[in-house]
Amino acid sequence: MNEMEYGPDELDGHTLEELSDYLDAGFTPADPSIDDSPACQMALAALAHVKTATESLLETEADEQPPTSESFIAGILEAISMNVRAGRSIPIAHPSPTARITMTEGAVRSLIRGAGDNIDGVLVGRCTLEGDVTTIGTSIVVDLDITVRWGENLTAKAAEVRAAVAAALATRTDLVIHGIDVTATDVYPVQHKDGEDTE
Amino acid sequence: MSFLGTGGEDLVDSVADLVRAVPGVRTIYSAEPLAATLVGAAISTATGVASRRPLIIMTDHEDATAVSIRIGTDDSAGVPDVARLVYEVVAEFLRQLGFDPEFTTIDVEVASIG
Repeated sequence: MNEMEYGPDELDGHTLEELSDYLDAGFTPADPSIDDSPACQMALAALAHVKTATESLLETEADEQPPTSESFIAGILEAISMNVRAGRSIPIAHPSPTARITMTEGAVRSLIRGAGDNIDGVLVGRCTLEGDVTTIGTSIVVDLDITVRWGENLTAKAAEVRAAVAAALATRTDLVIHGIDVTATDVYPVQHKDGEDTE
Repeated sequence: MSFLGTGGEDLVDSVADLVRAVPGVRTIYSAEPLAATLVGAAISTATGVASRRPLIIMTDHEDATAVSIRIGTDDSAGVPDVARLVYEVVAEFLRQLGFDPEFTTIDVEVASIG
């Protein structure tokens, strides 16, 4: 798949806005160019999580959405777009010389995102794999940003994310992980019943 | 030469069925470049004739055969083992059909996990 065939804001020919509309429409009418695209599918999964976590915020967007809320959501969406792109091919070892087995960098980043997003009160943003993932056995560093719900202990949440990501990578990939750097870059507000945000 | 359109559809379908049956494989994505798919979709829209998007790409060049497979796996442990098993199942199937293992390259790409 040649990512350069499309614009920088597109995933296999679709923008995040189009994917968000498709999600809102319940995946109907079915669009094979979305349904058959791993990048679009991973983006949809991430979008669904963000929408669930921030539902109350998005509902009040037209009213008194504070600028910080808009900026953190925009940042998360931008990160989703970057994270799901196929990226580099990560080889998987096999003794046969005619076997060319790989996993995409995008699949690994989405795995990392999923592990982090499963922590309550955390939204994973930018995620990068630092190091030569194209050479089997090379140790790499995972670098990811998280946005944490207001009022949570940032250090504790970062530790939870680090442990979850380490477990996911250890059980589902052959990658050699030298370190996992988690940076809490932002907080997102808690929506109270009266509609007021707490920041 | 592509096996598609030369009576090789059954072979490709058989390989796809084998891949789907491997534990841990959640889906098969088309190995065809998306740009080609979009052209096919446009032609289908214009002609009203449904186009068939090949899931597995098999090409034959001189004495060598190349197979391309893109899969999505489930969220269970051992994604590399799933990919390796896909290779081994397909390689054995083709060997039994008479394909020379030394000249049959099989690409397996894990494009999504979970």
